[in-house]
Amino acid sequence: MVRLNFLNQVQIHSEIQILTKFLFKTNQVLLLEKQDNRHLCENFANLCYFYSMLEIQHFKKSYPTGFQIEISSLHLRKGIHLIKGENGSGKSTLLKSIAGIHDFGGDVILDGLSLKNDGLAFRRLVNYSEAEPLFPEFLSMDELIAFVAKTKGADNAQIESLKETLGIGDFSKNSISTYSSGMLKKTGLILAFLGTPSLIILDEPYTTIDVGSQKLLTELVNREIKKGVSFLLTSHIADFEEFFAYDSVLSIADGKLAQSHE
Amino acid sequence: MEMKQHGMIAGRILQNSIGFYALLLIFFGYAVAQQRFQLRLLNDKRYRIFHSLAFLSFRQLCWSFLPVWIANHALLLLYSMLMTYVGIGIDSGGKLPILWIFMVAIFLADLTLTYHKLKKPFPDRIRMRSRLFQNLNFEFWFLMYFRENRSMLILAVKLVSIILLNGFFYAFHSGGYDLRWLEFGLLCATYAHFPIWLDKNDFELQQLSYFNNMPVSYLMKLRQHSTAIVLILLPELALLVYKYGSSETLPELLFLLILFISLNMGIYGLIKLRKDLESAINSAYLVFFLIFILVIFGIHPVLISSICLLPFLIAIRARYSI
Repeated sequence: MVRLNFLNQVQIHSEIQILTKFLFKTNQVLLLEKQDNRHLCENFANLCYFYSMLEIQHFKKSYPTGFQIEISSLHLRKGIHLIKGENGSGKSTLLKSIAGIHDFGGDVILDGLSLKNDGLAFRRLVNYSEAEPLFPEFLSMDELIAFVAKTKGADNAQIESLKETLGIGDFSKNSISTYSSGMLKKTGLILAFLGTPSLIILDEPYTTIDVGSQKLLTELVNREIKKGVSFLLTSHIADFEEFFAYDSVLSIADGKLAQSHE
Repeated sequence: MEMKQHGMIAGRILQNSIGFYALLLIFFGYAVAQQRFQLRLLNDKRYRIFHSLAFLSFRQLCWSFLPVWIANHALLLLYSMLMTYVGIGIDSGGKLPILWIFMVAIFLADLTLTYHKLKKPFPDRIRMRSRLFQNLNFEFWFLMYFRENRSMLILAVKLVSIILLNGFFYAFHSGGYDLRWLEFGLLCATYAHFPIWLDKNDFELQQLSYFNNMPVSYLMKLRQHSTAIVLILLPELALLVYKYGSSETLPELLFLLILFISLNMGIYGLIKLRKDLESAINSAYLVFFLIFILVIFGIHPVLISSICLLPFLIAIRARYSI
């Protein structure tokens, strides 16, 4: 916790910016002591708002069927967030848009990087695991990992560690066409943890994988959170809210997002 | 060919026993290929639901599959009807009953085989990768996709393209034509590849959409797509070198090679840029005539290549494109 006395320590705007960035990167709580300089306090609060981990601005995605998702503004700080919603509510569409897979109206900003303007740098920081992974059947897991590792900057040590954690074994050499749904899901999960992302999006991560693998995945997620990686999860599992200590729980219904609690 | 000419050929076939039985052999080959394709489709993961047809009796299966069989063998049936129409007026020597008994026999054999195959369990298939290509880089994914799923398409396209180019070279070497004739030939061969580029776009949109999340630089995308396209075009490029490669024609050969690659890249880029198939086809028609005019007016192949490369370079630069 950082305690500040404005009048003595923080004098100019640039110092406020540097300090705020530091606080967010190290995930510390800032306690403001409101003194006579109300204007300075408001500036600080605005900057804390500005440096949220993920910002969605004027998001709009329409389908030919007439279904539409609209989110005017959303700010999520570093941590783990859950998005709940019924089938067809637009969860996967939203997540795929944030991951840079689907085009949409508006913008998504992650750690100050805009998806629209800094697409390449943005995509280096965001990883995604689909609810129902779809890959070319003739490829093996190793080939998929090789391509993703090359673009996301993952090394062999990380790859082997993830394979061991998720219990992949020798399956990685076989082609995707021979995989069960659980192994296919693990393929998607392993790809989502490669590199050094700031945000990992997991769409229905616990469906189709066995109970043992679910526990391993929970440990893996908690480990990454401690390293400073943020998560955006969705799930239909009944007691999924008890799996993690979420920083916020959001609900999406009829293309609109609402915050259940923080 | 006009109907009259089709009728004449049909008449000749009916009057010639070797021709007639050769035609029946072709029909048989088509039916076998069709049957194999259908069984492969039935055993595909996406269509295994159709194994529920195993619950039908043979008679029920015949009735429910009849429209499917007619649709799949429409070409054979239409040609048989044409031969019947022509054969009635001439002395076909009893070949018409043989033709229709043959068609009915194919139908019954087809359905019998399908009936028995449906009752058996799914065949076990293990995909073995050749030791030469154990780990595939991204550049080779599309080629492998074609080998696994669309081998007939690529063979057919290559056959048409090579025969077409050979025809153009034959006419060119007989004299009376300049380089513009070959450029036009390359344009026609490019359009023969249209289904391949359509498929490449579909493959990327459907099976590779996940990889839109990958931070792939523009240069890397350029390299990946260029390698895949050049590999697909290798047979035609080799033919160009073989037919036109000599020390005197080296600069022209280089221009033709660049032109052919650029034309194909341009068509692919156009397909990627258009939102749907219909607009891609309409644009392709327009582009064909534009390039034809550029060729006719003797615009230098390098200039035409530069124009053709523009849609490709723009398309692969797109934010949501792998």
